[in-house]
Amino acid sequence: MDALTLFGIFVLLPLVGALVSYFGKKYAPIIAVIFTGISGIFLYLWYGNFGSYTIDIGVKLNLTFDITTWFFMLMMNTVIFSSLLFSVSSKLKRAGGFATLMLLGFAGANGVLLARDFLSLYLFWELMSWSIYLLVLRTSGEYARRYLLFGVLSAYLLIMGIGIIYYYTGSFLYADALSGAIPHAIWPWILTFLILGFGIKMAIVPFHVWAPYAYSSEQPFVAFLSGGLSKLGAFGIFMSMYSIAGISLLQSFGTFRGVSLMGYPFALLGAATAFIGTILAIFQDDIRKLLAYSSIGQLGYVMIGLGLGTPLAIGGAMFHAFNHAFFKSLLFLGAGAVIYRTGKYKISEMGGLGYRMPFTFMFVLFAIFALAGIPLTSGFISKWMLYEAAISRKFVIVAPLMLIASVGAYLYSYRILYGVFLGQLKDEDKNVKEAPGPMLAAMFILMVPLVIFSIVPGWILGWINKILVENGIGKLNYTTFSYSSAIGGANMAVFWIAFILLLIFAMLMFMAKKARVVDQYDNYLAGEAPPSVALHAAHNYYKPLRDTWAPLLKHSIDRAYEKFSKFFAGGFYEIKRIYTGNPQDYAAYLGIAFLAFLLVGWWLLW
Amino acid sequence: MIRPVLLIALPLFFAFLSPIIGIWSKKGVRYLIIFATALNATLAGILLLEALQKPVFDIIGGFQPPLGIVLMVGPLGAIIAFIINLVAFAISIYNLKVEKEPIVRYSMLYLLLVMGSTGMVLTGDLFNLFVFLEVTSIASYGLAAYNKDKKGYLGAMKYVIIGSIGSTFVLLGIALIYSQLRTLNMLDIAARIGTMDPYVKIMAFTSLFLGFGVEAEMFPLNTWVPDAYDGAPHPISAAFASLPAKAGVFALARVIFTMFSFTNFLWFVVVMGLLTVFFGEIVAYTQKDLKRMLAYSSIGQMGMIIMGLGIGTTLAVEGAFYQMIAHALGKALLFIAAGFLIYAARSGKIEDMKGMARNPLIGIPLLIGALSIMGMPPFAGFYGKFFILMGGFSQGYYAIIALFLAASIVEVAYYARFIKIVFERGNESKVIRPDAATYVPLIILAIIIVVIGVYPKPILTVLQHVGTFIAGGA
Repeated sequence: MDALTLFGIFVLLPLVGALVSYFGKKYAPIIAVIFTGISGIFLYLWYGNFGSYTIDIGVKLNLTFDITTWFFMLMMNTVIFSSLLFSVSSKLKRAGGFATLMLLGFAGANGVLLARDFLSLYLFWELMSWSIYLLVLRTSGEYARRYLLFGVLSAYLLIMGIGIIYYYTGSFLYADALSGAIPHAIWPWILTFLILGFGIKMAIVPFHVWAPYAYSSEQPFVAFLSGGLSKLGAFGIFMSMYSIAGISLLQSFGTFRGVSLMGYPFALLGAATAFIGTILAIFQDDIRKLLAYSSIGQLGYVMIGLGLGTPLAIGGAMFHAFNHAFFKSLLFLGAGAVIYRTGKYKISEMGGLGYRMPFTFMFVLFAIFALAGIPLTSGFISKWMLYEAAISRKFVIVAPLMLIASVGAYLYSYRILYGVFLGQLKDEDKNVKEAPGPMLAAMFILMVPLVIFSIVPGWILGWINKILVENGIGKLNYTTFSYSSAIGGANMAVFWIAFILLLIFAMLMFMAKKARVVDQYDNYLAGEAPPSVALHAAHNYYKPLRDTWAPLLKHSIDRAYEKFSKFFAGGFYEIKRIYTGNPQDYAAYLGIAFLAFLLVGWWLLW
Repeated sequence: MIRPVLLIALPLFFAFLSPIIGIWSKKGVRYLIIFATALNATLAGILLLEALQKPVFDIIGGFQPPLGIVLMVGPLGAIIAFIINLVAFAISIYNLKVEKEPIVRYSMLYLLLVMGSTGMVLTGDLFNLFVFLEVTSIASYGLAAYNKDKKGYLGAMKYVIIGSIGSTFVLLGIALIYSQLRTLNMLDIAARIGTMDPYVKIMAFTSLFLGFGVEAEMFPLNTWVPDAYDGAPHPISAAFASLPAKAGVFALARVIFTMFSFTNFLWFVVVMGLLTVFFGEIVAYTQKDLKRMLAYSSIGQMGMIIMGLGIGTTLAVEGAFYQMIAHALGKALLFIAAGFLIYAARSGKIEDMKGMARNPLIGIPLLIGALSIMGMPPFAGFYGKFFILMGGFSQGYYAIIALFLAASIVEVAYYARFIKIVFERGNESKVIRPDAATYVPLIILAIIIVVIGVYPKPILTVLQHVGTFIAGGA
């Protein structure tokens, strides 16, 4: 493999695909699926075939294909493949543009993952950023604008970090940053700029306000955005903290219970994100917004892990990022399937769809297990690793916030389960059919890893362990079926044996008893019901909880931003007044400028 | 082997040919400018290849420099001349849409504008530069008032006032230099600049800097920009942003690097650039009128270029030149698209243009242009902005860059607001299909923007010569 092959397969091929699929009309998603499939195949074939390369397009792009890149590319590729597969049957308007932009975003994401110098990082970062912008623009210009402002803010924070490094080293290479040219006291600035810049893409509080809007776009895209692209934030933070700066540099800023003081504030920020995201998710009635806030909350967990920086924490963060890529895109696709079939967004207007869409229900159920950390799925292991990482170092703020957020995750998961799939089927939904084949296939692909890695976490922990060892962070204690830590660990073999035994026992119990299926109304109303009664109590769900939290919820970061921007816009109109429109004033400006120049010049001379 | 003087002589020839052609056919004149600009662009391309080998010096009339007039074409001058003529060619296709008479005079002035701007870039003589500046300005004044309505007249009037004061400053600077050094050849001035009295030197620099700053849209000399751009016909607004502005900023670069080699005064140029960006972007945010918004945005971009020149490292000046190219292409594209939008909406207000860009023939080039102006990869605007920023960092201008980035966020905010409105859904019935004279130049410009953004190697190879340029070479 040489530089051009690597670059060609992972960046140029999606770009070519973007061009081709634009003219594909309604076959565009299929063409796009084929293109991502090809780079996916090469991704699997080239495992272990790692190396560093340089591409010269006038500026030098330094690319490295290593285990970290491979691990993140694996998520990215699977998620975009299934999202595009899903979109094959979702009858999007202007499907050509959709496929093109998805592939552009994919190319950008691959570029960010391969980049090992700041120029190419920034180049691909912006490429990805604006293709997301245009994808959101397909739904709503206002949402897109909000997204773009934060996207650009993220890019400019990165620029500040990159620029400071460039000032001291005169080089864009990641590897040169540690050459010792950068004074020790400057590093906190650099890291803060970089982490906040990447954090915006992960929707870290207080930069999360773009997410609920952007996540209300077309579901196949949102699945890729939330599942795939938001992981670039995690990747970037990982790279800047543990590859560019390195663990020993982080530790040199002092430690708190063994955790670097550079990392701990970000862990706190992550905990706040997990908490706020979850709390807000509980009270959403729009399924897209609910999933969006949930996504914010879950990425907060990843941030906690990256901030704490122990091998267990980073391992947990990586694993959780991986899980989140799959379960959150699965949830968005599941929501997409439901929305595609019913045309409704509000949870309170749905209900009972589990009877009509059993496969979708099953896939979403697994995703929710993973989200809530229930041990049928790999979501349990990653969350447990993060808890242990926080508990073992006795972090009394981080750990409780994580636990509260986890309880909150149960609450909103249940809201989806009950509100959408269980309960009473609405009359107008009586004719709803199961989602079409490609959609189900897409969701199935995403569900498989969640179950597999729950049975054999050792496989994925092997990759993560390699990442940790390569970056000099430490190593994990794991076997094929279990991992262990200082305060416990988890053995999935024991769990699965127990689970299967219990399942068989439950099946036997179930089969021993004869059950009779009755209509919903018979159960509730003793057979005396009028033809239609609303038995589905999904409206104003969690109202008591909402009342309890009301004093907290009345503060909104959204509104703070709006006030902020109004304040500035007002100032801009004041500044505008200098362009009076009167040529006499303008001529006077010229004279004043001439004098000012002259005086400054002479003063400098003097 | 072609002589650079052809680039100036041919447009002049065609300009004076056009009234004769106009006797037979008014339509023929329109195609004549397309042909003339295409020919000029081709010649400029060949000249660029020549200049890459070694700088081309063209001695006019057999008088040897430093006494005679000389054209001095380095790789950088050649590429700017090439881009100016290329954009002029794209705009001349859009000129087919100009309906107002007298088209013959319009064509003449347009060709004079092209010729003047090209001349400003190619010349190696200070007084010659002033002559071309005047040619450019006078052609611009005429074109700015071409619509013969109140907006046009007012804009042109402001342009005339500010522009003539600017020209006077240039003349003052030239007089100061000539009185001290007895020469007008740029290289000769550069060789002897050390012998000048330092106070006079500062004054000469200030005069020239401000004089060319008027064309380069520098704060606070850019007050004519919004009115003149707004009142001019749409192709002329596009041309203003791409031809005289680029020529003006190139002249500024000549003043800064070729003639005066200041090092301690450059931070002041950076501050002026920053102020230009700041006021340009902030006032653009408040505009409700599309062409005025683009005009202020143009000010912002020119400020960025001036900043790049002022930072003065190889990387930053490379970025400034890349940005000149990108801005010439991108802003011309946006103004042409704006012309279509105004025509389709029958109003210059942005809020009246709901959904007008939903036709992909307009929409996709429009997006490419806007993203390029915002500095997004893989479009032309990316490298210029990035290099200027990194050059600024390498000189330690942290605070200035931070303020600049804040202004850039404002820029993104108003472009996103504009894009939001023109792509809004719900107005499908009123969306008009553009005709070929509109979408062909848009597509040409968009393709160039994408190509030099995706594969910047050719441009960057040319811009490698920036080191010699800064050191005072051609």
